[in-house]
Amino acid sequence: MTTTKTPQGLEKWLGWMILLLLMGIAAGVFKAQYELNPAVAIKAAPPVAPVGSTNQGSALGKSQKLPPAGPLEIFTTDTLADKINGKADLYLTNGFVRLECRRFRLADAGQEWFEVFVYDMGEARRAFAVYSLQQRSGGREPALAPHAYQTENALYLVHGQYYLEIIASFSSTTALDRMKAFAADWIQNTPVSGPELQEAELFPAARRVENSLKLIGTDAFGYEGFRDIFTAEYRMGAANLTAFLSLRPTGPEAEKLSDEYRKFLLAFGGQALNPATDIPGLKAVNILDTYEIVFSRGRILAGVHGAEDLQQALELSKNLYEHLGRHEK
Amino acid sequence: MKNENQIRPCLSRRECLVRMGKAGGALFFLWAAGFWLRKRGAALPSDTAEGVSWPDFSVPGLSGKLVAVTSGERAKALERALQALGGIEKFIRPGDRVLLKVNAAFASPPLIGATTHPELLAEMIRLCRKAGADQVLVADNPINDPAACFALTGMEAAVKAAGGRLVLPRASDFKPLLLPGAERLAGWPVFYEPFKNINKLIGLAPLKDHHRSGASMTMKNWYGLLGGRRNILHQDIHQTILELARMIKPTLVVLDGTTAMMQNGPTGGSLADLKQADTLIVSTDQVAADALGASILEKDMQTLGFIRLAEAAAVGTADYRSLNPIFLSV
Amino acid sequence: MTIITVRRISQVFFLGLFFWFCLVMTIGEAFWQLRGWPVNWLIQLDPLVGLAFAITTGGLHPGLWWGLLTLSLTILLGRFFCGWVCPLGTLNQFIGFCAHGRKTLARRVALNRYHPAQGIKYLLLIGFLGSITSLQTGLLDPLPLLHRSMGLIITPLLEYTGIPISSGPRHYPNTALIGLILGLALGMNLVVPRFYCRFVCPLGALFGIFSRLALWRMGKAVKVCPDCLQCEACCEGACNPSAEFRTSECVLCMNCRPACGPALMTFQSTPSAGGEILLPDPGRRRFGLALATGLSAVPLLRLEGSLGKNWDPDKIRPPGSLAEAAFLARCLKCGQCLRICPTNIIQPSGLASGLEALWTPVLNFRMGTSGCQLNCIACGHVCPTGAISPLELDRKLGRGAYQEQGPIRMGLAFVDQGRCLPWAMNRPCIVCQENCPVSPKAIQTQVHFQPVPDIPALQIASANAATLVFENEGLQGQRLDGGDYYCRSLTNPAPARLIINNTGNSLTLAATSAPAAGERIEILLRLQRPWVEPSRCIGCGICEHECPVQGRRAIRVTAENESREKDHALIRI
Repeated sequence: MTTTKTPQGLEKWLGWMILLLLMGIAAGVFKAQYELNPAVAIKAAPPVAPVGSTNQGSALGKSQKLPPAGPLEIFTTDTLADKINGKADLYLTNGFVRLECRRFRLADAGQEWFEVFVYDMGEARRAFAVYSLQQRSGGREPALAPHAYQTENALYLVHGQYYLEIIASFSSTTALDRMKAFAADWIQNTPVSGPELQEAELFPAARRVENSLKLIGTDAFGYEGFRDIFTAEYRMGAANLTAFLSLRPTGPEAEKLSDEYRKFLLAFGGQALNPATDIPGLKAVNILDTYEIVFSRGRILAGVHGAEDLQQALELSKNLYEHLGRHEK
Repeated sequence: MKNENQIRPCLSRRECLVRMGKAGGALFFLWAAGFWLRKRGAALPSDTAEGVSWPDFSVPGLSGKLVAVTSGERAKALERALQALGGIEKFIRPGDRVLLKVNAAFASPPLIGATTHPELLAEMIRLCRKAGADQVLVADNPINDPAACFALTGMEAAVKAAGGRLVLPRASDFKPLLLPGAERLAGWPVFYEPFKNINKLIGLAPLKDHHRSGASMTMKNWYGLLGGRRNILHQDIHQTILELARMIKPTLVVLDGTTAMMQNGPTGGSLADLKQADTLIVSTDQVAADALGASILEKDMQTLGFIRLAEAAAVGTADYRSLNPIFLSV
Repeated sequence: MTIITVRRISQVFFLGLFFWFCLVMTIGEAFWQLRGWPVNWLIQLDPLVGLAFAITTGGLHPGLWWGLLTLSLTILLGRFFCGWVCPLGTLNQFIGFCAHGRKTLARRVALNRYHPAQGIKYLLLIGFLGSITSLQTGLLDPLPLLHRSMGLIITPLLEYTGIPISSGPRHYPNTALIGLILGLALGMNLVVPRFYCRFVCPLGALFGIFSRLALWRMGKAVKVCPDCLQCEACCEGACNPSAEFRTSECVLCMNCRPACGPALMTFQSTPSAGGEILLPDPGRRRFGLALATGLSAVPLLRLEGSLGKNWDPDKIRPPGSLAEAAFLARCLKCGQCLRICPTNIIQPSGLASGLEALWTPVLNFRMGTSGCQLNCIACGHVCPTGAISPLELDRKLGRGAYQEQGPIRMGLAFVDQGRCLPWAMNRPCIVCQENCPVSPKAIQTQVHFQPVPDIPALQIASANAATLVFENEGLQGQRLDGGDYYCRSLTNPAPARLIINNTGNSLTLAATSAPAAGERIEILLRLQRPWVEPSRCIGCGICEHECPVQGRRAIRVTAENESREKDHALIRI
């Protein structure tokens, strides 16, 4: 029998395993400390605005010509879901700041009422995004605001950073007239500042489908790099084409983004095309039997999305390019 | 030669097995006791000690039934659908205490179809009463201003007129969910009060598009039993809906697609969001009812995760045709 | 690297972890603050906590299932926890080594020989577990004991030396006994190494009982050895490795393995070739006596009625504490809540408030830096056993979904009119009212005008605008300008008017419609005497802390109206 003081295989192996276990425990403890104890977390969290509190400065809190049928309610990012539940996400991902809403009676007597929702989205672009994402088929109301429409029982519009919804408990023309009067009054009493939506003017008017302007905030056309992309539909012969554009901070950045979009398309199985065109730097890709065109002019990124006919897409691109040129001056 | 004393002792196979058996038995007992104790001790013995229990409310022998009635009139359609299932008496017995879980999530008018229609509710109460139900409770937990929600949706008046009883949620009516099967929802506050003393549960849901989950139908309707800041659960909405559908076994579900909200759900707001689909679905299989509802909403079933998950978890079948559904028109 | 080195690394690791968890007990997001550090993890690993908790409550608190893991490993390996993990074991081993490491072989053999008194710890364990209504193991269970000692004695002492560990020097009364026990636990190593582990530790006893099942254990590989006793000299558990092996006493220090010249000591699956004794036999009578003592101790202590009519109104428990009976069934006396409390108001109760509740947390508003802070829920979130519920802030304040239940009340403030300055001594003071944090304030005041006794009624000689002039110089200049003095006409009934300044013979008033010449006026002192609206008071104790009557405060919180005991309600709210 030999006496040995140096560890043998099993002992050594076991020793290392135990050390590994200790390291695992240390890692576990280290990971656990990132999940803040609730007692620590509340110190870091901002105070929550109470639900339904009234606010002197709110537009709906001021006296209105119609009798209110309920208290003014105010919701913030924390509480928005309490009011509109599953739809809160749509607003929250688009920069929602605050919602004020209140019901008004249509007349002093009677049960009919409408509810006004004023979504403060922080800036006009964001207000337009939520407006366009929910656009229903309905008649435009340009007299009220550049972006406004009505349906049988409701009125929707963008005013500066605000997105306004007025929804009636029943449908009638008198109700709509009252709501329009209410909206006009509210617009008058709610001064807004800040830049208007320039992009709306950048799309050529010819052959544009009415009410088709949309703003896609994130992940437009499935591409992560596309943020704040405006789209509009164009009637080209029998088909509808989608033109898009977006204002980027600088010219080179617009050019770079158009290039990256092309790479994105190619990475997903698109085929690069080289059509004859006068537009400098135009990229055309055939992907899943549709055509994607993208180019830049100045700091504007523009293009055509999902066209079925290349020639139509190029024609629309040309119109768009020329219109942008006029605008540049 | 080695002395006998120097021979290393060796365990016999029997000894070895006995010892492993003892240790294994001890380990088993230890962990079994641990799990049992853990379950018992999950709730703190504070004012929220009592947990919610959701017994099985379904009627034996009536599983897998589905009727769809084409009609513009909800009340008639409901009566006709129940007739096709053998009459309300099959589901509601004299002396039953029935809870109708409606969707009263928003303080919006019946016109815009975001909530359970008062006519449908009134007819259901009437039918339950007719079948001899002792009590017909109506409940939902719209987080924001429940009283206004029930009043403005017209449901309060309908409940009063038809002889039901409205249970408005109060803060003290919530108890933590401790049912086995609750994972994400373990310990979540649940609207408990109306469940205290009932033996039948019927879900009455409008057919709606839903921004987050794709569609809000009979399974999503159970969401309204949750309290707390349930918007947190929206992160994982399909799993949450699945968990609810797995734990709640209703007597019946009714999916009202008379005017289906095709877009901008769950709030809608405009008549332009609605489509006159003129279909009312009554079923004992919530998954089948939702699958048929999805086709009315023109949704691709593959995009509705909760239906796929619920089918995989054997809550019901998404292939509603396999249930030999009855299609009627009034 | 030998297994001994690995063991030492493991011991240092867990001791370091323990010290770290004790250091981070302040609320904050910095890495050296609470953050999300699992400060209760070592307590949760302690299966005696879980077992005693299961006996007293019939359940298992979240987190305590870690103890199952420890016990499971014990079933496989024996008392590894004592020799490899336990921070007290490590400290004991270290002190023992320092004290006895250089002694002669014979002395060390004698010190580390098995002693029949090592059976006492099993009786202690049985006794503690016999306390089936109240959790008492924490008194001697090494992890609660160490956490308590670190939190209430060692860290406060370090803070005295100027080492900044928490917000400032902290004070805890009733800690002498805690210090004594710690001193004994560590100091007795000088007499016998690992004294606490061998004779006292109930956790070690629990492991000892389970180690009888161990699949692998230390032991001699062959029966006959040279009897050099090298193994006995370095044995931490005093388990007689060279003779009949005491399996339940072996702490797996493994020292005997390299010490044995012929390498006969091994970690093996067979019983020691020298024979083994699995557990000391306590004897049926002793066992019965220990159990009976445990079973009867708490009922005996409760004869004083502390859970019934004789409840102690000064025992104000932290916010979210369970009702007293449930609280005592869960409170481990580990001191975590006392340590985390940012205002140092959670204090250990002493012997005077009952042996059963010794070292359980009570609020003392005279000490510390303020009362219970409205936006703090820390105590419940560091409690390892849920004796204090982990409250949401909304629940504590009765906001949001909890509006209807209202806020958590710890007690109710009472004004002691015999000590309160404006009530008892006609001295203006509204400190308590000003500091009341609830909205609307729970402390209200009632105004009382008290004629100033040493100033007689004055006759107005002339009056213009807001100035009144008297014939005689009698007033002490500027005495009445503090904003507390008023004057009132004795001739014309009119409200009292505020004096803003005075000279020897004139007063300047704040109002213009002053009394006219010829009227007699009296000088009044305006007192705002505080009273408490019980429906609003939550018993946070800020008023008591701020009260300028520093000895026995003139406004004091007692446990009346506390949310956790419906029977203590003073009024219907």
